[in-house]
Amino acid sequence: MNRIKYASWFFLYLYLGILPLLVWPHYRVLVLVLGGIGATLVLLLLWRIIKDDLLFYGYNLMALLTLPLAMQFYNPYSMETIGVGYMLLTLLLLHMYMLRFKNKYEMIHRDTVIYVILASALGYLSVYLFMYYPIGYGLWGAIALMALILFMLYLILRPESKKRRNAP
Amino acid sequence: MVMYFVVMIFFSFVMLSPLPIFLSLPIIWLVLLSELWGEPFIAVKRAFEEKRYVEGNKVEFYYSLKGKGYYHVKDEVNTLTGYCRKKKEIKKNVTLDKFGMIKFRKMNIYVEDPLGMKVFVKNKKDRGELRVYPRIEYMRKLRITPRKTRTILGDYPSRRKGIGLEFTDIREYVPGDSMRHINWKATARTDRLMVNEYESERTGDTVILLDVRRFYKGAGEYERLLNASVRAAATIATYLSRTRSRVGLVIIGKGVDWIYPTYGKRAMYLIFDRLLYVRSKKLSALPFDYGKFIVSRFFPLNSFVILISPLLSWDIDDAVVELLARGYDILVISPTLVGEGEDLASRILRAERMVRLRRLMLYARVVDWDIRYPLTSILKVMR
Repeated sequence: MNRIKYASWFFLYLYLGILPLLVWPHYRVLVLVLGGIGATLVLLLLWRIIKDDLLFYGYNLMALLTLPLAMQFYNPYSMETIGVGYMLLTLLLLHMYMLRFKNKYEMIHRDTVIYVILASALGYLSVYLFMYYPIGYGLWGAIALMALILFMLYLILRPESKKRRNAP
Repeated sequence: MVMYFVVMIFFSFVMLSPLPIFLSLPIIWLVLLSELWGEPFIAVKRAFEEKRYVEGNKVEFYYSLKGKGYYHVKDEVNTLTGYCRKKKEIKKNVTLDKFGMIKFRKMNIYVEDPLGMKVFVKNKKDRGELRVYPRIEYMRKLRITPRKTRTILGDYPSRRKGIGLEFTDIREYVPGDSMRHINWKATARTDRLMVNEYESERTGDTVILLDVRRFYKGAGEYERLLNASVRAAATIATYLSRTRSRVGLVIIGKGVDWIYPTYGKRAMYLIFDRLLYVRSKKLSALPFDYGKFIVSRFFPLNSFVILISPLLSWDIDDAVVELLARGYDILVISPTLVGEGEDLASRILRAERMVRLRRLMLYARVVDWDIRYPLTSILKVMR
């Protein structure tokens, strides 16, 4: 079962390894990206020592934020850019889920992997629809944004959420 | 995940680029998929074959899970983790390596959806118990017998002559003697009627006085001594329950507990059930005088007291001498951890124990038992 752990670490290091390649000629941003990777590794090291959930989510967030930094010179409306970005994001998400479930439940079910890959595919499809069938800016854009914010607020404040940090 | 999404939106404003928003879309899809998946939930049922086991036995636990999600279920013995889609049957083999009572009081159930966003937590009230009895050694015959017996017929040879199996003497016939006991060879030799005399076999009261007070902070030493003492008590109780003598028990451990002498298997099961609770987590400050008081107050004066104690407390030898003075017959079985701990404190403890042991040897029968060897091998050669 250690294969899951090896795979999860492989995904993270692959993700962190590809990030500097994306900004190779732009040295200023390269420094920023390397700083982000460094911060990720420091938080990762701390997490391996302290084993606190907050640090786990911290280093993953740092790795996630480094991705848009590394891709800032690419055209954000290009489907190729989005595709590369989503592939890298999938690597990071797979790392997160594999490591978390392996540590907590000593296994990861294929359902989780399928959902992660499906989410990336659906995200890509959403962007594709947005690019080729835009709902328009202005009024409709504002309504869509408000709806999104309300949905997010509902998700955050819903009463039946029973998540506990100190759970086993 | 929602936090990641919010941070990405914020980052998009900081970078003045739509890319972080685009990159956050899979995250929001994960949240949506988790919502569509539904609420994680699992109901657990547990079963096992028997209620009573002996140390070292294997038990098969059967768990039946209904529900969906990643689960982490914990009861008094097992911890189950994994993923359940609808139904799952789990078989778990457990070796019961410690004697004692296992009471199932609560079961913690923690379930998550496959994306780790929704949680179901339940501390369920649990029922059931497992009794793990101490392992015993088979003892065919204990050669140590009480010096004082009761008037009721039993298995112990007494000093009185009467009905029994062991031949002791020949004497002249007196009216009232049974014809069956006439020794015809001796009669022919002496030209007078002679009869055989037999050793009368009587019953006796035996009290197992078990000293399991915790003096060690280290769990390892305590466990080893406790296991040895309890196994010895259980072995002797099993043997005595086969004889026609009454067996009682006094335990000095967390507190003082006793069972008044009774006969047969009832005594054995009563003692075994009481032995399940002797394990203590706290150090004991109980003086041995309590044990002495219980024995002298509640048990008959001619009882045979089998004291099982590591002789680690300072007041034990005086108490034993006092019991002897009151008329009790005492056998001391002292389990030892030979060669354990070469530090100064351990050496002092061992030296003190030896002094106590030598003092007791002057008055009572003493067995210095190295617990690496079986108790029966030592008792076989004792008289």
